[in-house]
Amino acid sequence: MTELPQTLLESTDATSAAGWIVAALLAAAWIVTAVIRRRSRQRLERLLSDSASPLQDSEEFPLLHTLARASLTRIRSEQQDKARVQERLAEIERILRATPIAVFALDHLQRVLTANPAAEQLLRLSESTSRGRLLQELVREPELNRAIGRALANQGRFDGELHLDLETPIEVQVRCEPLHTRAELPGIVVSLVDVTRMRRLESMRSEFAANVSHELRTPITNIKGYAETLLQVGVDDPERRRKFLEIVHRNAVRLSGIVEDILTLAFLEEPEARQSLARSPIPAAEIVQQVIEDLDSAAAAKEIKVVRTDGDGAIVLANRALAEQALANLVSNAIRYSAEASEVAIEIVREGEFIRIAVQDHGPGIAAKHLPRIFERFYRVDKARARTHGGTGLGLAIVKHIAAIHGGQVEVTSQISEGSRFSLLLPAARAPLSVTAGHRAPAANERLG
Amino acid sequence: MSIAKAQVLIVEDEPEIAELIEFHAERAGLRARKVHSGRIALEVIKREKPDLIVLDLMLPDLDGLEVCRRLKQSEETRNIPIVMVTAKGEEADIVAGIELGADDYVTKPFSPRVLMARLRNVLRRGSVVEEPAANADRLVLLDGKLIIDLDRHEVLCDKVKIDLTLTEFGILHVLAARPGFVRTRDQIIGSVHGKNTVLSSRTVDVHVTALRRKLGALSECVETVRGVGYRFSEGAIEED
Repeated sequence: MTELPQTLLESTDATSAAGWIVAALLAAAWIVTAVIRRRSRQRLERLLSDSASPLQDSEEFPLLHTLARASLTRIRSEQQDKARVQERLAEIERILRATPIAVFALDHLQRVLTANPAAEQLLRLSESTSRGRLLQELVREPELNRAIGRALANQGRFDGELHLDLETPIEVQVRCEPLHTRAELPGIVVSLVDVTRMRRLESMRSEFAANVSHELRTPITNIKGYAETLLQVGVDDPERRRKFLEIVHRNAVRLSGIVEDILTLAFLEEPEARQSLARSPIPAAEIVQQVIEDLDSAAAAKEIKVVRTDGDGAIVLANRALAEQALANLVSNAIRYSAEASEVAIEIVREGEFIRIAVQDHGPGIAAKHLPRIFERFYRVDKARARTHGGTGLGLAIVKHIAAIHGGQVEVTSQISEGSRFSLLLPAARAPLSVTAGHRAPAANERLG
Repeated sequence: MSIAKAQVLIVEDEPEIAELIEFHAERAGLRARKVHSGRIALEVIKREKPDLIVLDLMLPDLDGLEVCRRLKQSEETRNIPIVMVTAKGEEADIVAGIELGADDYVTKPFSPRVLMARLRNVLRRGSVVEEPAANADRLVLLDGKLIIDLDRHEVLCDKVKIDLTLTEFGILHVLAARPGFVRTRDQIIGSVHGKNTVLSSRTVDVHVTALRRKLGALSECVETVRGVGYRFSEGAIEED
C-alpha cells in the first residue's frame, strides 16, 4: 500500500501522487465499510433472533438495543416490501391470465412486450415466439394495425370498435392506453373485448322490435288511412266504398288476432301457467279430429284434403284446449302454405314417453337457414308470402310455448319445394284410459327398443 | 313541375297501403304506379323516370335506404324527389334517408292528407339536390314578414332589421332555402361549415335557440323535428 510503483512516482509530481494515495485510501475505506455493513447485518439478524443475545436486554445495553431494533425494523420492512411487490406482481399476472379480455402490450415500435392467454388465443399468438416481434408480422388485421397506429400517434390512446376478419369474424371493442405516464411514450397496452354476441343480440332485438312495429303498424295504417278516407274525403262509388270498408274490417280482424296471440303468449310465459294447468289423459286421435273439424272450412276453401292415421290408441297427458290450439296452429299453417287441392297428412306416432303428432304439408318448404329461427316471434321467412297468406307471425311461437309447458317439444324438417313436416311431441299418459283406449295399454317405452 | 299529370311511383310492399296511396294520388290528379319491391322499383325508375317516388323503407328484398342511396348516386335519377314512408321510432332511418338525399318523409300510421300535402310540396319545389333558391339574392318568406337579404347579409323581421351572428344567419338561410323540408343537424353543419364557422351537433341547438330568440314573434318558423333535425315552417302542415 505504501510502496507505489517507481514509475508512477517518477513520472508525476507530488500533488498528483498525493491525490492517488487519497483515492486509494477512500476506496479501501469504502470496501471495508461495505464488508462490515454486510457482516453486521447478518450478525445483527442472528443476534436478534437468539434469545440469549445481550442485545435482547434493553436495560443493560439501551443504546445498542435501540440501534439494533431500528436496523432490524428497516431490514424487515425492506424484505416485506420486496415480498409484497412480488405478491402483487403474481396477483396481476393471475388476473391477466384469468380475464377473458385479450390484453397485450407493445413498445413504441409495435413490438410485442407481453400478451395474456386470452390475447394469445384470440390473435393466434404463441407465447414463445411472439415476444419482441412486430405485431404487424404476427397479426395481419389492417383495422387493428391502423387503430394501434392511431393510438401511438395520439399519446397512446384509442377507443373504438373494430371488425376483425379472423377465422370466425368478430366485432371487438378496442381500448389503447399508454404503458407509462412518463412524458415519452414507451409503448401501449391494448385490450380487446369480444362484443360479437352482444352485437348479434342487439341486432336480433332491434330486428324483433322492427318486426313487431311492422306487424302492428301495418293494420293500424290501413284502418286509419281508409277510415280517414271514407270519413273526410268521401268515396262516391258504392262498390269502392264497400271495398274500403272491407279493408278496414279485415285489418281490424288481423289486429285483434295479433293482440289475441300476444295475450296468449303472455299467459303461457307466466310461471303460474305451468303449475295451474289442468292436464288429463286424452286420446291423441280426439285432438286431431277436433282440429280437423275446426279447420274444415279453411281446408275446403282451398280444396285441401286433410288425412290422418287413427293413432293406435295413443294417449297424451295434456291440457285439452292448449293441445288443440297448438295442433290447430300447425294444421292451419299447413293449409295456408299448401298448394290448392293438395293433401295435408296428420300422423300419430308413439315415441317412448312421448306421442308425436306430425303434420306434413306439400307447400314450398322452408330453407334450412330459416329453420332455427321460425319459432321466434314475428320471424318471417318470406315477408311477401306471409302477407298474402295472413297469420299473425306468432303461431309457431305459441306452439313452442305450449309444447314446453307440457314438457314436450316441437320439431320441424323441411324440403324446399316438397313441403314441411312439423311435429308436436306431447308426453304419453302413463296409465291407460279405462274407457276410451283400454284395449291396448302400451308400456311407456315400448317402441324404444 | 305542375302537380297535374306528374307521375308518381309508389314503392310499398303492403298492397292495401299502396292502394291507399294510389287512390289519393289519383284523386289529386297524379298518375300513379305501384311496385312492391325495391329491385323492381330500381328497374322501373330507370326506365320510366317518374316525377316523384314514394318509398317505403321496409321492403322485403332491397332495403328502402339502399334504394334511396342508389337513386341518389346515379346521375340519371338523383334529381327525382323521394318521399320516404317509415315507422315512427325509427328516426335513425329518417336521418339516414334525408342525409342520403331523400326530400321528405311521413311516418306510419300516416294520414293520407298529410302525405298528399308532402307530395305536393315536394313536386312544387323539386328535388333537394337541385338546390333551389341558392342563387337568389333574397328570400321572401311568411308573406313578406321575413326577408333574408343574401347580398347584404341582412334579415328583416316585420321590416325591422335584426342582428344575427354569421352562424345564425347561415342556419336560417339553410332552413329557409327549402321551407317545409327537414334538415338534419349534420346537414346544417355541412352547409354552414363552409362559411368559416365550426359547429358540432350540440352547438347547432344552441345557435337555433339564440336564433329563435332574435326572431321574436316569428320564432315558430324554425321548427324542431324531434329525433331528426329542424325545418322552416310556413304555417305547419297539419300532423296528427
